[in-house]
Amino acid sequence: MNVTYALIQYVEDPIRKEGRNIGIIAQGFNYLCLRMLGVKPPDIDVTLFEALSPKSRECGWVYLEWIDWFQDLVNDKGMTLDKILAIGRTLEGGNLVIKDGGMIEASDKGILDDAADYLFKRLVSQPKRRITGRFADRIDDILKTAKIYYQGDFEKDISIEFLPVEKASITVTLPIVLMQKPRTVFKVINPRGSVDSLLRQVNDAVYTFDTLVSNGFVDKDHCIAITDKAPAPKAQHINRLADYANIVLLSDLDVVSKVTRVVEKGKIHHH
Amino acid sequence: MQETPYKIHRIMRQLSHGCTRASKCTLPAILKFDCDDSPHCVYNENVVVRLGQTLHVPIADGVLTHTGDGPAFASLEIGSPGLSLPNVIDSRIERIARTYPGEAAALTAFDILIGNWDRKQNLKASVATPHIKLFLGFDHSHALLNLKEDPWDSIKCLGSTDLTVRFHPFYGYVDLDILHWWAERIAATPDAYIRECCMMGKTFRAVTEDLQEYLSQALVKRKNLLPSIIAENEPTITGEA
Ligand SMILES: Nc1ncnc2c1ncn2[C@@H]1O[C@H](COP(=O)(O)OP(=O)(O)O)[C@@H](O)[C@H]1O
Ligand SMILES: [Mg+2]
Repeated sequence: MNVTYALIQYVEDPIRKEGRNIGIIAQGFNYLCLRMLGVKPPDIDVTLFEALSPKSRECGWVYLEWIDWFQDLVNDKGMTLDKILAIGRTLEGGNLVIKDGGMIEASDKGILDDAADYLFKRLVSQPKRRITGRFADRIDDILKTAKIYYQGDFEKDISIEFLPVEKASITVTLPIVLMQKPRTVFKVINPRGSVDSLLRQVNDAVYTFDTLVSNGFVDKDHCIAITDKAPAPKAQHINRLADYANIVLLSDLDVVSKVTRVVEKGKIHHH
Repeated sequence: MQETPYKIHRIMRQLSHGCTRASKCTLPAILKFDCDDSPHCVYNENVVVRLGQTLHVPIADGVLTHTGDGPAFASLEIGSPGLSLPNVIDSRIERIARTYPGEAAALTAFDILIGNWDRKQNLKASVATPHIKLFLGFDHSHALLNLKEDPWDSIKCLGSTDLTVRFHPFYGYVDLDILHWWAERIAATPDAYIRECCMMGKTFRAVTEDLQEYLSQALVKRKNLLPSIIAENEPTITGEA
């Protein structure tokens, strides 16, 4: 059985015309099959696309529209690879193009999904997630991609003052909270500064998570500490947080789905 | 676990100082010129953007700019620098009309006003990103003076009660009540506003002041007739004809 396929390419500079493969559409066994960078149904992570180049960094939401567009395209009744290539010709000169890929031989007993997975793995390389820009901007990006930013109960930069009966009040500050129960709270620990600065941040985060949990504001599984990889002495301090929260590293490839999972399901922290 | 009562305080970010910090920038745009296929393209695009802005219809912004060949029209690119939005394909029209009923009706009424039969493919809308609302038409090179091969024929056609737009992506999907509302709203626009949109105050490329004047008269007439043109052509517009 022959499987024919098309390449989906991102062309950062249409004048230079150098495309980078970001997806494939395979046709065989009377079906069409789509694979695109960052798409693992039901999860879509556009930050991988954003990591491709400085230009693509602001375009995650447009890429999301393209993913949806391609899904509509391959699900359209009577759609064939030839028709898709014809539509692809109208995209020439733009940042996203469709190119004829060629053909591969697939086992007659196989299924198209396997061939598509194989092609995707061979032809589309996963970009390294580079940390560029300010730490705070990166966090904003991730919150946007995980759609946390747009939830009605999203609160930024608040302080919470607990008023226990007949005891002194206690105040903690939070950069990010989802107020609807089960609540999710975030603390941000920027490891880029001095060890002293990191230590202060970790202590504050520990105190904050502990206070929030012991006052019944949030459960431990819904606490997130957002930070990043750091060399050994710093990493030791960061690891202390594991007893209080889910640690999420900005450079994790699956940072967005990790955050989403904690918000949706709550997850026991790991080491 | 017992919840301790709490109060929430918002921490305000310090605002930057009150100056506007003006700076230079460049924006991506699509440049359009007059060509054999569309000999009055630049004039058309410019007048249509003025009309769209006057009537508050969702079309892309654009400006006149100068090239070696005289004035050209720059349509500001919809999307994000670095990646433009996909063009609309047939299978998405229904979803777009459902997501943007007001915008779809506005654009349909507007296209009937300007005689734009070339809307298909010339529309960008976001449907997968709930937090970004975006619906904008562009490319009006085949409307107004380029409706027919000869500009005087185009003017005659616009001044008549003819629907002129036989096919439109939103026919069959547009909400008729909202469409009628838009037709009434457009009809209520003062005649002088429509005229001001058409007049450049001088001959503009191949478009003489005479042509501009007659076009404005035809458009004013068409604007006033728009509610009845739409009412009389309901079967076509609902896709039942
Ligand atoms: N304002 C705009 N924003 C985004 N893309 C645009 C815009 N104007 C034009 N384009 C893109 O450029 C292509 C050609 O422009 P268009 O005005 O439709 O000219 P043509 O007369 O060749 O159809 C369009 O199909 C569209 O993809
Ligand atoms: Mg066009």
